[in-house]
Amino acid sequence: MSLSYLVRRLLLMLLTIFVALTFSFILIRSLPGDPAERYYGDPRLPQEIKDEIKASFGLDKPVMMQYFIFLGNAFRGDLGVSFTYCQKVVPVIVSRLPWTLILTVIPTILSMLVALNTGVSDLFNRGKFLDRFMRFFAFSLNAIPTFWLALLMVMGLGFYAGWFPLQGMYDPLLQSGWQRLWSVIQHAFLPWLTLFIISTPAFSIQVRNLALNILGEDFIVTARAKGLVQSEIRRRHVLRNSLGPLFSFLTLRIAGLVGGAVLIETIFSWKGMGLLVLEASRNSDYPLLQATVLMTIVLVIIANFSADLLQAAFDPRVRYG
Amino acid sequence: MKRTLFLLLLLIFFSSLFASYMNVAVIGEIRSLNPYFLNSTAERQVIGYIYETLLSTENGKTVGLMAESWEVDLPNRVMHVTLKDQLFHDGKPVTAQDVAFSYNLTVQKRLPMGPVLAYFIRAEAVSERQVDLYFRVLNASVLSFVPMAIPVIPQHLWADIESPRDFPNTTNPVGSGSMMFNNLTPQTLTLDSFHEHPDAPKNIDGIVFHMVQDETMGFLGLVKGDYDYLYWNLDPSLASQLLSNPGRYPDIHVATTHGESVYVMLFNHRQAPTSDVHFRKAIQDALNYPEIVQKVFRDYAGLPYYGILPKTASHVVDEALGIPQQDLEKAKQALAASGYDGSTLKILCFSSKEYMDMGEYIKLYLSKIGVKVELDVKGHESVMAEMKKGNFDMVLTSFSLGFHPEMLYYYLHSSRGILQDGQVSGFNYGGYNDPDMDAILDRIWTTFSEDELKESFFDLQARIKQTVPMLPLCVPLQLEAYSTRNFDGWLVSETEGVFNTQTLQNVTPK
Repeated sequence: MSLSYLVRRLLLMLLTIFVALTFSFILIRSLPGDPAERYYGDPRLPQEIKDEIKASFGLDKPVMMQYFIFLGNAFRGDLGVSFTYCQKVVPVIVSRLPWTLILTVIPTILSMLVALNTGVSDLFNRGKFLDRFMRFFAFSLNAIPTFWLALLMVMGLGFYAGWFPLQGMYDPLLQSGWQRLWSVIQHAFLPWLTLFIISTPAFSIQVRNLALNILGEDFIVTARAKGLVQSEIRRRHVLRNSLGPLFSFLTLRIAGLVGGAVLIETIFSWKGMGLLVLEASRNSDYPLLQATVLMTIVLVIIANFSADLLQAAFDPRVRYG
Repeated sequence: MKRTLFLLLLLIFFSSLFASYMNVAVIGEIRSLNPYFLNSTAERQVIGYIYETLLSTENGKTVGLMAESWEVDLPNRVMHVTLKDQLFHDGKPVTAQDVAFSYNLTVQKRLPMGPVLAYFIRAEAVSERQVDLYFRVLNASVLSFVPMAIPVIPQHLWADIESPRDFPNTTNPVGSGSMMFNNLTPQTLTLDSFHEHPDAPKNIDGIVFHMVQDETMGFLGLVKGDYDYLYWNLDPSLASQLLSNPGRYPDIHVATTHGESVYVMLFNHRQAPTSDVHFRKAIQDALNYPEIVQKVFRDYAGLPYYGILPKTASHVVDEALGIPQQDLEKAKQALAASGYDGSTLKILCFSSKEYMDMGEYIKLYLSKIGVKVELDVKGHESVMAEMKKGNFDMVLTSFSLGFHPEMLYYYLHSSRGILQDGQVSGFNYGGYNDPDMDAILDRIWTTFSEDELKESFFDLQARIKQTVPMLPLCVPLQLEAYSTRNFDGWLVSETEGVFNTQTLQNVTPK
């Protein structure tokens, strides 16, 4: 990967962020409702006091002016003060992000590992009963709506069986670190299980399709002609060549989940980024909404870039520059 | 030394093991504990445990909370307040300086406390425990909200805060309320009993408020034993199921108390036929109120009085005026006198189930007397936008009047219904304009004597019955769900429900 490629790529990333920021700024400002109206909306207040309150939120200026102020502040790393949290938005996001990562990364990686095994194994049993059954099973699971499965988990394992807490992230009265960690694991188990069940079939189908393409490649025929055993072909050639595209898929999926595990977070009252975005849009909290959008854009761009790097690392045929 | 340390650790361990916290579920988020910037219902529900105001209401009457006594100097528009002997949670005494600081901060920093800034000028500490509050306008209504709205904060902790809007107050909120801050996580707020306060819970260590996202999950948590109380009004169908199957969930109880919100139908008085009193009376006589209560609210609502005010406004409600009743013949006669031309009218209504169901029943009743209506169902924001523009024939909405009946001034006074630049200047969205009603409302506005106030309210209700400026439909009951699985000693108050000060002082862990 050459330096000029890196510079070009970096400039392109910055341009993408700038365009996305501008569009999101316009879209957010087009939402119905005045975020400060709840503070000055009382008709008994004199107009001059209403104007002062509106000005304290920076909403008295023309939208173009607000945009340039926002851009200037964003370049200095100041994304503004949340209307609802009464504090800078960056610490709010920083406090929520780890919880979303805990929620999404663990089941996604686990489901990837399982999918790698099942996807490739199924392929080598192509056409047999087990392959057909697994494909049917995977497609069926893939069709289950996330919220419905989550509610089943809550009702079955949380409410009726009583094995897991219904919702929340940990018991706030537990002081010791280990007790709290155990509490987090207990609370996270049901959302993890839900995400695992939802993600694994999708990954499995993806792995199978990728591997199917690879099986038709010339180097597999050569490997077979050289007399390599099935397991060796699977491990050294099929699996390794599937990893690049799969990592791309994985990184993009995690980046997507960071901004989008709204349903799971809502049902399990898991206070992560998804709920934060939802709250911000419900409350017309412009700075918070803008910052969460920016963070999601940046994460997707970074994920894309990482995916390209991983692709190159796993597949010697891929070269950038 | 080692033995002492070991015993101390053992004591801490066991005390944490046996600490008894009540678990309460609230809907929504607690993002900040800044009492001047409350954005969610959950924040409004919990903040009163940490911070207090000078006055409050009890059974519809004004009572002192931090104020031991108060006097009103009407000609000079000053309120003289003497404070109780109280402490902040950090042990420092509450002084008149703190009160003056809290009130003046609201004005100086233009803090958004509803209409306070329109009426209040400044506060001055006269002595260690006496403070004078100066008003731009002073009347019974202003007195009933300004000293009940501004929280008293400690000057020694807030004096250096340059911008209160950027202060979340989530690390060490110190107030003088009955509970003090322990910790705030993204999912819970834990408050401990502040034993120096006379209303502090006696037998429990505190309350953990759990933020939940929806009512169903909260209810499951109540049944499972995770929560002891749900801090919202239970859905009538769920309450009905619980009360009709008491054996199914033996620990779960529903406290039913009189509601303070009245569901009403507003008329647009700026246009025919709704501007005609005969037409409005025809609508009033056409509706079957008991059926609305039974079918829409499953009998968990009260019938309305002609005078709109609910039972919870007990000190001023005139029950003798009676309850509207369906009389289709009378309704048809009134309609004939109204000159209604048979055109189709629209009933604007919120998109929630009870409003839509009420709308459907009203449509059915009106068809029986020959009034054609269509429901115009919209989301909350859209309905409010139409109401603010005065752009409707009729609209279904609700008013909270139980604890603040004087709010009728804002809903009915002609000065609050002027249409300027396409927006109604107040809450009188229909533009009702009746000089006699204005005179009665002005009397209420400036009356401090309890007897005179009652007389004026009786006149007001009689005038409402006579002119039907809006139509009361029903008064939903307060339905609160609580569990006796972990705590005994819940006390239900007719006016304050079950999660009240008496309950918190009386409950004991099982």
